Amino acid sequence: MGNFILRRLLQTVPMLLLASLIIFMLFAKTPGDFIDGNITLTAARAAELKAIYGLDQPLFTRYLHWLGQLLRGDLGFSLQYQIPVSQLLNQYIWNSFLLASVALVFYWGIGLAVGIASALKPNSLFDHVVSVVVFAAMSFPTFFLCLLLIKWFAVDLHWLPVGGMTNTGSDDSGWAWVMQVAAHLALPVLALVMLQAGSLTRYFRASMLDVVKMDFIRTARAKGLRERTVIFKHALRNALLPIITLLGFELPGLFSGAIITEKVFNWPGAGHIHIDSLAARDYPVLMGFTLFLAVLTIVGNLIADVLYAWADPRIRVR
Amino acid sequence: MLGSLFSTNRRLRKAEIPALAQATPSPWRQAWRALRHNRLAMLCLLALIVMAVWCVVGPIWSPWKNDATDALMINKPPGAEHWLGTDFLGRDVYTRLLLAGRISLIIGLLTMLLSVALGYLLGALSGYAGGWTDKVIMRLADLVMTIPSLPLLIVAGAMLSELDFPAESRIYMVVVMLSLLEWPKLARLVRGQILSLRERDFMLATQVLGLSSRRRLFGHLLPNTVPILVVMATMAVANAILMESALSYLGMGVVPPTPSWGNMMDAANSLIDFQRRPWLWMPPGIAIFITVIAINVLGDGLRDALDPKMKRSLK
Amino acid sequence: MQRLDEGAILARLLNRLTTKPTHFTLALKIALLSGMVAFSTASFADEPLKEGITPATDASQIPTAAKLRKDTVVAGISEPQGIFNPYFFVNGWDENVTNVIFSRLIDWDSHGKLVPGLAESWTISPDNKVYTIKLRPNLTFSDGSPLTAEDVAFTLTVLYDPKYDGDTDITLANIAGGAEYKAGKAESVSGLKVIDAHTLQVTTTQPGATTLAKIGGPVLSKAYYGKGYQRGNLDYLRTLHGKPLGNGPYVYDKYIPGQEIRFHANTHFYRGTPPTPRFIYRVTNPSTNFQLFQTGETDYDAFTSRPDDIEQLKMLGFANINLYGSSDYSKVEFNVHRPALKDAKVRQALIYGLDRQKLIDVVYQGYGKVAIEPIAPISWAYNADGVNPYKYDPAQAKKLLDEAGWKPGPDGIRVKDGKRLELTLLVSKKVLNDALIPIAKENWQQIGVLLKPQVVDFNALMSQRKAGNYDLASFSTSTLNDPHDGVWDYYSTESKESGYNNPQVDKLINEGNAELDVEKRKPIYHQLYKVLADDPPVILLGYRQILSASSARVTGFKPDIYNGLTGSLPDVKIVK
Repeated sequence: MGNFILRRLLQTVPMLLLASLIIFMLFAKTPGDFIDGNITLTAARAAELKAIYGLDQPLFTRYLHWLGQLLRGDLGFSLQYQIPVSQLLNQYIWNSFLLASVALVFYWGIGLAVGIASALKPNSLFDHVVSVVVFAAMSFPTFFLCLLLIKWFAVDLHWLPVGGMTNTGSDDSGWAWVMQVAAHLALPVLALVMLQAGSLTRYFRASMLDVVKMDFIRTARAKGLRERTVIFKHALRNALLPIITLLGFELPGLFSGAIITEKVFNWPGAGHIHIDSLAARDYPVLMGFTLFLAVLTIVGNLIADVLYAWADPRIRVR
Repeated sequence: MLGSLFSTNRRLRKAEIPALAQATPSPWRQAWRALRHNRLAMLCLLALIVMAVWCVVGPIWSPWKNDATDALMINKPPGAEHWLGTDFLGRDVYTRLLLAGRISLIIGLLTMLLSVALGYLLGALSGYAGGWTDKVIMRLADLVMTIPSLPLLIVAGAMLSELDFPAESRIYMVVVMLSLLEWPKLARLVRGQILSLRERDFMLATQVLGLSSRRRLFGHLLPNTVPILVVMATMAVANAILMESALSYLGMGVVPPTPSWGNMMDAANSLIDFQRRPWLWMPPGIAIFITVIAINVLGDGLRDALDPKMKRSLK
Repeated sequence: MQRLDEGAILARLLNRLTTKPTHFTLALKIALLSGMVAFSTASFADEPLKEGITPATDASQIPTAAKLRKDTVVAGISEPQGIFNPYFFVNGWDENVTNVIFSRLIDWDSHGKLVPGLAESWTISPDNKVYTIKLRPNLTFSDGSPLTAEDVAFTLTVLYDPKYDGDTDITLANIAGGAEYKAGKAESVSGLKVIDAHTLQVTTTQPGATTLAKIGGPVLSKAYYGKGYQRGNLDYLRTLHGKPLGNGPYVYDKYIPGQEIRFHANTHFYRGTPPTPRFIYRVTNPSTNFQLFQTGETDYDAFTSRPDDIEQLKMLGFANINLYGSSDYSKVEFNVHRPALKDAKVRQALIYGLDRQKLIDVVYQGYGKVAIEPIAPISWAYNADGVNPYKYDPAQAKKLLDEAGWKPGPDGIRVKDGKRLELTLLVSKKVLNDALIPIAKENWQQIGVLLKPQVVDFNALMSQRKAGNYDLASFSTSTLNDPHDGVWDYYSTESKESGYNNPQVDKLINEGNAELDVEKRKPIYHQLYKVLADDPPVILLGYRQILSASSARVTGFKPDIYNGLTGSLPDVKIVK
């Protein structure tokens, strides 16, 4: 196992290099650059600025320069925000992480519980109602859902704040600050859970349905084991296997930020950086952020593979 | 005589045991029969067909053309002239709903077909073949997963616009792009399933029986991946339609004036529109809801029908 | 084919007769009388709001959350980026922040005329080239250090630094010796002479109407921003963006990224300490800024100027509603390099053939106006007399196209020398463009022109435009502080991408820029606008209005397009 992990880790380095080259070329080929978006510049000034930022140099030179900086641990300097990229990302990704991880715990928990429960009683009323609710939640556009939640809970009932992460002008720290953030976290988490629990429920249900029909479950039941033992000790473990792959996909999502939800709730996360830096063609930020997510993607898949092999001892990648 | 029981020669088998042979139809026909008996699934299939036909034929009968703007009739509620009211440019919502249906259904179907076909093929290959094939495909999947979709869409969109591609055909580009970016996830799911199935006892049995590789793969391994394939496919359609809606919010996806269910919902983008003008967002929202549910129920029915373990009476 | 009914025909006739925004409600009433259509009781029943401030009707509705704030005023802001330096910010939101922290030498009044700020007075030499600026006495920065002419000279010198990458293009001010300093041939800018602690003399090489505004910008402290300054090295300045030192009404306290920016009143402010001790910019976004205002989280915010929003604000009761004209205009640029568009008749035909009134009505619903010249009505230079308004006239459009040699082909699209009249329109995703595409497509189809719209993101649009890969491109100008800014794009050296070149236009632009007296400039621009109307470089679309609201809990907000909310911020008081 240790060997396997080491080999995979070694494979990631050339992959990341290749990924960075592809991503760089992709961004470079995106029409327009940072200067083009500014319509107030005279032609002469635009040319001057491009020279200052090195945007007039050939692509490969720029890539090598960026790579050199990266190997020295320098992610570059944001053209839009005028601060180092690492500092910029630091300002925002941890907020996204907080939101995403809290939501993750909830929607995986709910997806698991509901998926398993509906698999145990297939085609029952409960199952049908759950299906309908799941699809209704999935079909509902994110934007409207967020607005509705704000209207009900914040404006009409005054239970929760309209948006943001803390109260305006508050200097609270310690426990009081934690309570504030929790109150502000409630609605966006609710929105994310409502939107994402549904698809997980479907996968869990399908997987559980499959496992429950298998012979070894019949054996366990025939042996006289309690239903609870049958389900939780035997069926669940096997049903979770395909789901581990899904868990691996979640890792980059924890830091990339839920774009629409964060925007509507004014949650200071990394979601807006995606859109804003892309619209402004802020290459250093785009490269740094995308590469960071690329690392997370690859690591996430690696963890999923490792977990898979560990969970089912029969699986050995030949 | 015993040998003929295990023989793969169907004609020989039928000739030997004529009565039984006639009574047992092929597995596919069995599945179709089982599906037919599943009333709910059939209802959904019917609903989908009706919707598709309606979207194709309906706009031809409607007196309003898609682009017909009318400044006097903006934001009117449903009435005799406009069955579902008008939007902010005075265009008929009902006609646009149907036209949008053409686009959204095509997007959903095409994206699903492309991404699932690609993902399934590569995932199955990777899981079954193992070794270098597996390694290469999985690393390729990892690589593709790291490519960000939004810049890719912008680049492709700009390239097409430079080549003077008609705006209506742009959507197919979106479909292709999204499918090409989605296949790694599906491939990984399929591969995971295959890896665990490969070690099961029934696969061991096929090895002991000395069945050919092809028979093992297509006759036994792959059919057992149908459940997860069905879930993937049905989710893929739903995701594609909803992804298009999110892209419209961000300004990509199907571009105006071409309607799609996603960008019709985006047009009602404030709480005021949401509360006061439900005819703007409810029709496309309900249409998406029905499509998503119908496809999923149909998918469930398909999976149940194809599942050899489901208890069914032979007719 | 659209169903025509009596009401629609009547409405179109009325369209042709009047162009005032209120004609729209008039047309509606006629249609009602002819009993054709039943209307819902939507917001069109109200008359459009008048420009200016509509006071709150019921101050008792002020939400309790707002009442709990005793000494703080909160305003909404969309996307600050943390670059709190008036010469280095990248987006307009940071400019809103720097306007609070820094004061300008020379301000604008609500109609765009220059008035004294930190500068008490200024004199201009008879040849319009030498400016002598006199500062008020006893000026200090917010930390108590003195503000002198040295600081002004330092500020202008930094702008000429070869590594200066900000938005202010000081070269347009043509200060003598600036180019030499930038190229490294001189140690300082010779045109900047500090006569004494309160007087600075700026010598320029040629007169320019925008020069005074350019050299009269915010003042950076030499002691703070200039510590260790050496030409060509501005990296250290970047570290100071987050720790600004200014001389404006409020002092910067803290920035919580993505959340808020806090300030406290500047006791050294030259107009006197502002009455409200604390001020906070809170980050809001257009989807929920109304809810935030409604629950009292903000005391001031900007909203879209649509009847829906206005009605909602009115229903709140505690909102003072401010409506004022914007200074920008939207346009569709012609690529005059393209053979079809070289002919002025074709361009004129396209303008006559587009129902811009319908477009403006649909998009702005009474809060916009069709544009007839490249300057907004709010500016002192606006003068509609004698300028061709290009009212919607498809018959005239067809006539002009016939004259230009474009004859209708078999499918209705005009043909000339074997080429069809097909035009590509580049747009980015905006409400204006959402309406423009179907309306333009329909209108131009009628006169025999095939429109092929292409939606791309804004940056891609600009780069495609630079590459010359378009026939028409739709975008808006930025805020125009001077009429010169509104026509600079049509000057032949600046319009290389679009290929527009009209010597008379060039001459008038130069004349208007060389003259500094507002009264003398007015007729020059008037003449210019008439010439531009005959040889149009763009299709002018419309002017818009901006809506903001403040809570009845505060008084003193008087926003206008030149000063935003910060111009009146020093006067804002919490009502007891």
